[in-house]
Amino acid sequence: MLNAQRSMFNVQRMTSPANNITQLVDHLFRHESGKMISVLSRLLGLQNIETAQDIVHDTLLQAMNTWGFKSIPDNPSAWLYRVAKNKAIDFLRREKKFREISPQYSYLLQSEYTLSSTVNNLFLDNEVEDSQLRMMFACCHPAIAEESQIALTLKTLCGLSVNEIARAFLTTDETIAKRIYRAKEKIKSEKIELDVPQSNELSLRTDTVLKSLYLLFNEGYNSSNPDKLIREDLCEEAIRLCFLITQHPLTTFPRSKALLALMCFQASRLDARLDDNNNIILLKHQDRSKWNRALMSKGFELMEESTEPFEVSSYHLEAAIAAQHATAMSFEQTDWKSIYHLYEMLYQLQPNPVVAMNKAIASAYAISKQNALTELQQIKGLEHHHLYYATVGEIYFDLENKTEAKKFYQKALALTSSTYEQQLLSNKINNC
Amino acid sequence: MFIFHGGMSPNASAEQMQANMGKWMAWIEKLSKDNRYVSGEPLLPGGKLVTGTNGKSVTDGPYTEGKEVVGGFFIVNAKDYDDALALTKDYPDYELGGQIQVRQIMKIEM
Repeated sequence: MLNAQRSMFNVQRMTSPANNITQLVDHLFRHESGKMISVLSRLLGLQNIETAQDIVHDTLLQAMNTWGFKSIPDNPSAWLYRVAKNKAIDFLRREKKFREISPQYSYLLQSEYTLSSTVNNLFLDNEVEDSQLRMMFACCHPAIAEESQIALTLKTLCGLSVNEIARAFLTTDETIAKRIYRAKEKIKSEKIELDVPQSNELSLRTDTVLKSLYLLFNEGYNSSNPDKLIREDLCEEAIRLCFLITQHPLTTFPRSKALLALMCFQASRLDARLDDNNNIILLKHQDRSKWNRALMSKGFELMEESTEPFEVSSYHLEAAIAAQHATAMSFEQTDWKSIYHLYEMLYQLQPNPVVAMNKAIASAYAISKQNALTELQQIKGLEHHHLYYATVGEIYFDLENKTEAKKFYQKALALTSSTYEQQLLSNKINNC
Repeated sequence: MFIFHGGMSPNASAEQMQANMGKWMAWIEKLSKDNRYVSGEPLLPGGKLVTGTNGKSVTDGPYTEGKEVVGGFFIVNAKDYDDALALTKDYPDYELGGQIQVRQIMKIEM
């Protein structure tokens, strides 16, 4: 997985001059920062997450100065962990507030004899992964609002700054800072710690984490952000964290693998999905030779693994739909009947208007345009959605009812703020 | 001697720090390849200020504006000031508001 993921996302970046010289893995600082914040929060208690963040920031600053002036150590991650460990130990010696700091480790941290070894043990590989997983459960705690969950995840686990998150979501620093503040207030008021949920709760809590990762991925995949790199970053982070979930024995549910499979299929099309001006190219017009084969085959492999033990989640169905597209030689040769059937099942699990719209679109190819029109006309709740009107217009156009087509294109045009889509719709109106 | 003032903001993100470090390494590597780079050290922030008769007064500092704080130095080989100034072209922190003081080290003939 990791190799496929690297080749997919980092090819362009590897060729930038800075990376040839530093010879560091892309995003090393960012990812190690997420790991160290997780480990230190576990050590100091999640209530002291800000101290953990400060220690990590100081550590990276020290690395930046030392490595930049001298050279990169043989094992950069080990260097960072050593410095962060020492800073944490200094902090613990200085503060002496062990009981308030870390309920779980306070006993071991009080004695000089066990202090260092306790801290050292938490920095072992499997413990680092465990800490990240615990951090994911904390960030996606059901008491925290969804938008805050994603912001907090990006800040703590992915090492993004408030400003970087704001740019990714096309919003202000203030908005993101507020979301993170609210999340941290919840951590305090709900006394959230870095615990692994009890077995009876585990399945449900994993679902919230998966949902949050699904939203994070979609934010990157469907975003109207003009910066392609930012979009890829969000997808990449979602894949990285989902991969972690599938690797951990506690959370490797079939649906976790199905979600990762879905992400692989979608990500395999990222390069083919945008033209030179970063405008979205629809599936119909994509150059299928640009699809990333490595990610696609990883998707199939994960789908295979996600069948046992048997369960059917919406991720399974969405991954299966994406897989149908992946195997099709062309848009016309797509197995639309299977896709329509999968949408029918998805609609039973998630009866919402967006799924209904996608189902109707699939029916246009699986059954008939007339059927699609009937299904579309029955949908309620998309009255403010420009894509809905654009879709209806498209069907009318295909049915050669240009008067109706024009009406719906005009409704869509009035509802979209994207200049690219406005242009696209104006062209269609002119053709009516 | 190049003396560096200011530069990276304390709120910089992990990604920005890594990118900035890459630029510094590239600059040092270039200077070393041309046999210009002799040595250099980064300085930790903070420090002490010793003043008064017999150095009796010790305070924390220098706590001046970020720009005035020395963040590090390089010693490089250069024929003259023009030559040295040409080497400052690739200093990575101009865009971050950093500055370089260029000074000639006095050669003491014994």
